[in-house]
Amino acid sequence: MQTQSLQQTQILATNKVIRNTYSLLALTLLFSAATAGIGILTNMAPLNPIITLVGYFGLLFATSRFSNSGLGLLFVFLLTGFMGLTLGPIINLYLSIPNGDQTVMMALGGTGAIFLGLSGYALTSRKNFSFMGGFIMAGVLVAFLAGLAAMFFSIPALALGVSAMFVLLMSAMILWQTSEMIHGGETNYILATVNLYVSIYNLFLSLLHLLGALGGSDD
Amino acid sequence: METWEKVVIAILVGGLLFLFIPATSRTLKNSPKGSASDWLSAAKPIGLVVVFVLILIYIARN
Repeated sequence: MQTQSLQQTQILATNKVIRNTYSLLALTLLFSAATAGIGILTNMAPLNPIITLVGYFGLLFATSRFSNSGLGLLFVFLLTGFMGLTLGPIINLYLSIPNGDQTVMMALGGTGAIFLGLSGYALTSRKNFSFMGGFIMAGVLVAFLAGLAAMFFSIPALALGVSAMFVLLMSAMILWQTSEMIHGGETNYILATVNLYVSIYNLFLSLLHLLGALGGSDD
Repeated sequence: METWEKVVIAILVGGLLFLFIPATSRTLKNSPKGSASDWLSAAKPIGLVVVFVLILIYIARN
């Protein structure tokens, strides 16, 4: 009887984390779409890479640090708003290319389809993907360094390889994060939201890059 | 990008690596090891993502 009640409590807690995560994710995506829209409409110039790096990692650190308090919510919106704002000039660049609007819409639709498909798979199969945590973390670190090398030394082929790598890693991260929520590995909905948001953001950017370059509109 | 910007970015990245590498190696050591069937169950949906992206690229090219 007591075991059954404990199980029910765990199920309720898991459902609450999932519900809160997807609600916050929807709000942050809308908010970052609005800030990206501002960046597009105002023809904002790309931010300095130093400001971008400090902004990303500073706000990511602050969100993680305050993830157990109300301030965490404020930092989630600051982070996602900032990330959305940095998307504005990138999308503007693609929109200025012939058929660029189609590329952007295809990347957006593709990102949505991949996210829904992978989340649906993890939620319905209820498989435990916790074993992928270390692999994803190491992969993201390698991809991040390779991405910086591509930027520093201007190697377009390496940049494309990094984008392809990010598509795979972010897909794995969606599976892993969703599974962590289901199996109780992640009980903080703010951290779960940030992980899923970053996955969606990187997936969109990588798809945009791949479709723009390989779809024949990048040069 | 100016040289000073590259230097500042290199310092920032060095700092990030200093923070992330120990955490990554800790996670690699402590995370559960998956069996072959576990990896296969993850590879299937990711494989479908690869096929989907290839289809998107094909559509974008035509």
